[in-house]
Amino acid sequence: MLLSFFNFLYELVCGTNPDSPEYGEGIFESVGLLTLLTTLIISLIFYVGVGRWQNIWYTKIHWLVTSLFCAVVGFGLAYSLAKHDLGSVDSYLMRFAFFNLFYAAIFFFLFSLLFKNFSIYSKRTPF
Amino acid sequence: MRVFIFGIGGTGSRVLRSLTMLLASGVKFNYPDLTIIPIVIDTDAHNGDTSRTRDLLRGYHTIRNHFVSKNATSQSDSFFNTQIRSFNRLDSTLSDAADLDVQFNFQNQENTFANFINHRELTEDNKDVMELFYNDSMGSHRELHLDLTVGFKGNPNIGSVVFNGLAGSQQFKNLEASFTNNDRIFIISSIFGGTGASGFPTLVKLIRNSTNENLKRCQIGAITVMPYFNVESDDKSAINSAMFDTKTKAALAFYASDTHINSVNALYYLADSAQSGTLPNVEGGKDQVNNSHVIELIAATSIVDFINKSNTELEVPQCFEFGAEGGENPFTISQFSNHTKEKCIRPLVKMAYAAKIATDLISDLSSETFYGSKELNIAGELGIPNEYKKLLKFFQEFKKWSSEEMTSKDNGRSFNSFNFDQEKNLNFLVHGKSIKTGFLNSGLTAKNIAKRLTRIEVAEPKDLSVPEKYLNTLYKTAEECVGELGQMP
Repeated sequence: MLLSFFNFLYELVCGTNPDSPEYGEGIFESVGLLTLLTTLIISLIFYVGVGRWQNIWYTKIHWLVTSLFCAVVGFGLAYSLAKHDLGSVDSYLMRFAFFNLFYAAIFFFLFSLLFKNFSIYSKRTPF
Repeated sequence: MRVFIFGIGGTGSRVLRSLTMLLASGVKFNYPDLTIIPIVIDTDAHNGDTSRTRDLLRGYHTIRNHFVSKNATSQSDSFFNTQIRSFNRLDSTLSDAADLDVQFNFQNQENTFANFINHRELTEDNKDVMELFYNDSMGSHRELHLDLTVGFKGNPNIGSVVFNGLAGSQQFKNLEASFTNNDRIFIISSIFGGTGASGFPTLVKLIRNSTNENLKRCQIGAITVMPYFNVESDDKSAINSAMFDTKTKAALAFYASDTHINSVNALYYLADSAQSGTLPNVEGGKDQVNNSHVIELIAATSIVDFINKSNTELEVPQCFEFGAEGGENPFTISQFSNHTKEKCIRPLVKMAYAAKIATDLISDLSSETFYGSKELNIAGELGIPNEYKKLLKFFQEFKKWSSEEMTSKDNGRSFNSFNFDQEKNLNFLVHGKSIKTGFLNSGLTAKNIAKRLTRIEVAEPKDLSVPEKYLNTLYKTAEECVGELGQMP
C-alpha cells in the first residue's frame, strides 16, 4: 500500500520514468518512507522534545528554519538514495529530489498541526 | 464575617492604602467569608491622601470584579482574593458592580466651625463661653472661624464637636440598621493631629451608645498611631511638629480614663522615634499627599492581626504593641519577625515580582506563546482594555508605594524593600537577598520568566476567562519566583 501511495505521490509531480523502472520498484517507496520518518522525528523533537522542555527553539522563525532544514534533508535523501541505486544523476533525478524537498516541508507542516497541541512553548507555532 | 474599617483623617487614609496593598497581594485570613468594608472619614474631602486611597480602593474593587474568580475567598491563592464592598451597598442581594463608595460625609461640612455650631444663633452668654473655649481671631491660628473643608488642622477640640454630628448622618444610620452580630469594626486614627485624635474616641462613643444591640456590643479593634514623622517648620501653618508629643500625651491621658476607649477589644499602639526627616508642611487639601511610610504598613498589619483573632481572644479588652527583630534605620525586611514575614511580607514580595513582570517585562515578550491572541491576548489588552490599564496602574502604584515612597529620606525612617530599577532582571528585586546564579543558571532573567509564564498559562483550565488566566498566571509565576528566593531575608 505504501508503495502505491508513494508511487502516486511522486509520479503526480515528476511523471513516470520508463527508462528507470527502479523508481517505481523501490526508490519512491524508500525515499518517501525515510522522508516521512525523518520529518516525523524532527517534528517530535521540535514540539514534544524541545517544545515541552525549554523556550529555546519555538518561535515562528525557529519553525521556518526547521521546515527549511526538513526540506534540505528531503532533497538530500532523494538525491543520495536515487544516485546510490542508479549510479548516475539525470534531470529526472534532480526533479525528483526537488519535489521531495517540497514534500518534506509539507510533511513537517502537517505534523506541526498534529503535534503542536502536545507542546508547551510551541503550542501556537506556526499559528 | 464583615469588618467595617474606618480610616479617620490623613493617617487613616494612608494606613488604608497600605491595607489595600496587603489585600491586593493576597494576604490570607482565618475567615473565608471575610468581606472588608472600607470607610474613609475626613472633613477634608479633597485631601490628596484621601482621594489617592479612594482611587486605589476603587481600582481594587474593579480589578477583583474582572480578574478574580467569583468563588475566590480570603483564603484563596490569588491576588485581590479578599472581597471588599461599599458601605452603601451592604445588602448582598444588591449588585456590587458600581464604583466603590468609601467616604462618609459630614452634614454642613462646607463651612466654618462657627457656622457649624450656629454661633450666630447662640445667646450672648453662650457666645461668650464659646469664645473662652475657642480662639475667635481671624488670624492664622483661628479656631472658631476655622474653615472645616480642610479638616481640623490639628485641633481635636473642634474635631470632637464636629464628629458628634456624625450620629445624625444617613450613612451612620444605615450602618446601625444593617450591622449584625457577625460583624466587627476596626478604627484607624492618629493621635497627634486633629481629625484622628478627635474622631476615634467620638466614633467609639457613638458605637457603644448605639440603639442597635449588635453594634453596641460588637468587637472593636483600633490602631492609634503616635508621632512617626515631622513636617517642615512654618510659622503660618497650624501644624507644628513640636506639638506632636504634647498632643499625644494629652490624648493618651484622656484615652486612659475614657470608659468607651477602654472597652475597645483590641487596641494597637504604634509610634516611631526616628523622626529625623521632614515632610512638606501642608495643612490639608489636594496638596497633602504624604509618602507612604513603613509605620503605615505596620499599622495595616495590625488590622490583619485583629481580623484573624477568634471571638474568644477578643473577649477581654487588650492593648498591643508591634514587635520587630531590630530597629535600624533604614528598616529592612530582615528586621520583621518571622510571623510578620510569613503572614504579610511574603505576599508583598510575591506582589512585587508580579508588578515588575506585568509592568516591565511582559511588553517585551511578544514572541512568547502566552502573549498571543489565542492565549492571553496581551497585545489586545486581554479584550478588556480599561480594566487591564487599571490593573497595570495598580501595579505601578504598588511599585511607587513600596519602593520610591517608602525609601524616601524625608520619612525619618526609610524602608528598603524592593529594587525595581534593574532593567530586565529580577535577581536583585528583594532588598537584602538576591537570587542565586551560577555558570548554568542565570536566575530570574526575562527569558526564564517567559518560560514560566508560558508553562503556567497553557496549563490553566480552558474554561477560565482570559483576565482570570492572566492574573492566575502572574500569581503562580510570582510564587515560583518567591520559591527561587527561598527564605525571606
